Amino acid sequence: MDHGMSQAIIKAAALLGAGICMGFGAIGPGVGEGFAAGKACEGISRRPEEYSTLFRTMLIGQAVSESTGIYSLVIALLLYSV
Amino acid sequence: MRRRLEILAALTMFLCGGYAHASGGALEVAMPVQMEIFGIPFNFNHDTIMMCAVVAVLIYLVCWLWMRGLSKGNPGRGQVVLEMVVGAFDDLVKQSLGPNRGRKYLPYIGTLFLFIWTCNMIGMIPIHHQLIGTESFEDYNHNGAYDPGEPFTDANGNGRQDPGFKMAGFEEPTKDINVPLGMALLFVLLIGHGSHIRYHGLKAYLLDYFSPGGIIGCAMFFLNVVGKFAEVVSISFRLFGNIFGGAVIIAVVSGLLHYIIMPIGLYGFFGVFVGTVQAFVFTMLALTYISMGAAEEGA
Repeated sequence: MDHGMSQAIIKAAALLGAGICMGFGAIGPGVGEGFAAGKACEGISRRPEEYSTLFRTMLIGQAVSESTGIYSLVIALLLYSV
Repeated sequence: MRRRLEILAALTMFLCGGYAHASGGALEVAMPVQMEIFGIPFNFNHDTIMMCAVVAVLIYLVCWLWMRGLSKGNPGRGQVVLEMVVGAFDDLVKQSLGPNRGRKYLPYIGTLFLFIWTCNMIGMIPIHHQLIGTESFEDYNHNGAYDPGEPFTDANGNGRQDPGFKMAGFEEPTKDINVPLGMALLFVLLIGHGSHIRYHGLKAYLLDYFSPGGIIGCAMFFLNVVGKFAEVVSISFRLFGNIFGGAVIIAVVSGLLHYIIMPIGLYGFFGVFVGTVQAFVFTMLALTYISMGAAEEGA
């Protein structure tokens, strides 16, 4: 196998890996953030006067649980630039 | 002494912020500033350092303008807003550190939030990078395309020889991993671990790594070390990934839609909303990590 071919295979594998990484990495944060939003909805419907506290806590929790998706994004971008 | 420590910390952060790892690809540095410190070659990211300085000067100027004419008896409209913001942070810090030590840490936490928030917002100011002091230079290459980036010479020896001084375009400094990493090192390692040692002593700090104690504690040592290390990595990569990913999405989607209307919404979400939330999250997490070692008894 010549050099160009192996470079092309490496590039293709890196791009494929980036796609797979992003696809699977987005599942967790999606489920988690949806769960947090649903629970916040329940809390707000139960105690509407606590809306601002619940909303703020939900946002912070979602931003923290989003970080696994962000890690996969970083790795995908690193793979993309191989 | 304390003033000198603060200056040292700010300098460390500044250098950490600009250190550009000599890697290729998407994270490549446009115009690195090369320096040798103790014989070790360092590359500093020109744009990031300059934008950090711009942000710092901007914060200083805005705060100075805002602070003029504060009065106890007759507060103006600006002063009320300022008092609300400072009061909110005061409550936040006092809740997690206790009333006495909270006041001591309030300036650090407030400055951290201000700096990150301004860093995240500054990308929305539409100023392109500019070359200063390039009198005889051609900004159009031989194909007629606009090319202000690199010096070139054609076959006759004409053209740009020296790129001159490059004023950075307004981009988020937090888009460079080194800025969040520098801030995480400063706040989690220096302030967090430092105040742990200061309030509990070095022995208690070291014993904290064997946290449950006994045989199990010895087994848990590596897990605790990795946990401390992961704090820095997770807090810095969260900010970096959000801002960098947001910038990439704004660029790609705006390009797909030919820059019609949509970029306003994209900037509204990924710029203003995500930027504010991530600045707040970084501040809250830094506060949490600091409060592990620095919280008062019963706070």
